[in-house]
Amino acid sequence: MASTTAALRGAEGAPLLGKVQYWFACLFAVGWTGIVCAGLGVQFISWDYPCPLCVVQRMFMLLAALGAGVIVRKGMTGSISGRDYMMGWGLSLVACIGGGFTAWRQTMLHILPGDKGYGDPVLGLHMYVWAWILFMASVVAIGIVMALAHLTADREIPTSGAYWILGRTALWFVGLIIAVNLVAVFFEEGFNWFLPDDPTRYEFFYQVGILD
Amino acid sequence: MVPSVGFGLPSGVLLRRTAACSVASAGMDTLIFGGLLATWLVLYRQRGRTLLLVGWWVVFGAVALLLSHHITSSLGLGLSY
Repeated sequence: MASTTAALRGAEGAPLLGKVQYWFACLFAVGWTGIVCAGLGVQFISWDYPCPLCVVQRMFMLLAALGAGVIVRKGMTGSISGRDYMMGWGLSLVACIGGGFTAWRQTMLHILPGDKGYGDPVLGLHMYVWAWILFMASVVAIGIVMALAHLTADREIPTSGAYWILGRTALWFVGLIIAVNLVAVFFEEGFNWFLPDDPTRYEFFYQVGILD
Repeated sequence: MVPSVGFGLPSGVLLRRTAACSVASAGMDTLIFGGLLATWLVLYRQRGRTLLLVGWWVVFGAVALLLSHHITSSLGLGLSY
């Protein structure tokens, strides 16, 4: 147990490099939240209703962002232990595998030639295919970062300036987008227990009589 | 090809919708995002590592359950591997 909480050695002589994992955790949390924002953009700008598997993938993306958020939040206190790094990346890895399986499943449902897929393609690929690629890339990235932990995982993180501001901004961004999704999925789902397989409207407004 | 079960019929591997589910309540997706927000709050306010882990894994388990509900046909989909 003591070895997992001991300061990671080897990073003291490279002050800038030792903060790389903190910055990567900020980027990871903001990145996945940004991907969920892209989904919200397609939802409300193109008026494309997210299907149940789309929503499940968003949940896994935000779970992955929260994993990185563990590292960011600890960094904002000025100290990140080896245990914190492992916990954060471990949660993110599990979430990325779950999201990757879901994206794989949705891809396979539309794999046969002639199938138009669900929703419109974005930059040549459907969003669930992009999601699978990004989930797998995240797994690789976390592996690389962990393999280089002796260089990139400082215990001491400055609590002033850009470190604190960007860390706080990243966490609030994650929280805001979770809240936006909570409201959006409530409107789409209404008072039903599950989303329909092929949603065509925001059920809440029809259930309360605002729309006919 | 895609099973279009809709949301008025029982489906899925583990969960079945019963006639008793007619009382107005938040759906499973809504509750899960609520759980995500609660977990975020625990993280931001630093309410403790154990509570954070419990919250995160409860939400993960709920998402896995929801995913299993929406897998209504075999994983192989009749294709050859």
